[in-house]
Amino acid sequence: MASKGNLTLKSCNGKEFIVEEKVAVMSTTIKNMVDVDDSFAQGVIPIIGVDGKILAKLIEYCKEHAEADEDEEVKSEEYLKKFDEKFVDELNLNDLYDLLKASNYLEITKLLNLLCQKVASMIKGKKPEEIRRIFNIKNDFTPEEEEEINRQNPWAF
Amino acid sequence: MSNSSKKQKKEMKNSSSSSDLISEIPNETLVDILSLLPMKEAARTSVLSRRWEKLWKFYSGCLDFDDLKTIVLLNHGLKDFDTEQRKFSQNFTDGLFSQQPRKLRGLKWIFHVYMHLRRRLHLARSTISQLLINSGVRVRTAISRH
Repeated sequence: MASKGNLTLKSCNGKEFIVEEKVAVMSTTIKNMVDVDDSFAQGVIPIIGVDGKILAKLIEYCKEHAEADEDEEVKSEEYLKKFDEKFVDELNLNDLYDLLKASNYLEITKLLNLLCQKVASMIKGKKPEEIRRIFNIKNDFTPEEEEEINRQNPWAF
Repeated sequence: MSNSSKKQKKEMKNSSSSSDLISEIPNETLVDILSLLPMKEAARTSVLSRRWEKLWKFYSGCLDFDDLKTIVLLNHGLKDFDTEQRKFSQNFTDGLFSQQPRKLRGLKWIFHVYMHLRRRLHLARSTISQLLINSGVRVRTAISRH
């Protein structure tokens, strides 16, 4: 069991992580759970649909940011920026998707924004065929329908 | 037996198409992503697939109606003003009304005003104010003159 000030988070595949409360409550979802029901703070908080690998990533991110919020001297803005860049650069597409889903569900706003920026940068300046290829998006339009959309928004193409 | 093998086949099919992982991302997150893009780029994603066609309608980034190219062509007499004006208004209303009432990050509506367009500016400005009020868009408007 976690000692005072710590929370235990359990991934969907049974991995447990003991984290400081300030790190865990970077997630608004977890913060609400702890605020509403004190028993969560004592016991184990199940993180539904998030596996151990992704949960470890989330905790890594939240730890850096929680520490920076507490002491700007130790972790400067510059340091955080570099950390964020490295964090998203090292993600493969699967992890990126899993983290997007998890940070959306857990309401880790800062991380969600960071990941959205990353995906937006992958779309920016690309042609539709390129975007489909990068994200594996299946074109389910008939050629006629595609033509019609191009015709509807001539200013965009 | 045949039922279960059918089910297996279906599952296999599902897993092989699961490389389209972006389809698992919730709509609201994809809209957030689109809203970080310039308007034209976001609108272009409507051609990706049926799902993306709908997402663009929830765009909440900066609505950008800055069409310098058309104005230059107008100025050289290569395009008809009334036709262009109609098209511009259509795009504008499509841009605002095809979408849900929501908070926008910004609205960029720059009409490069030339001498022969100047008298139309007043009309255009009041039309836009009305459009914004009608569509329930909460936005700080900055209409710049050139």
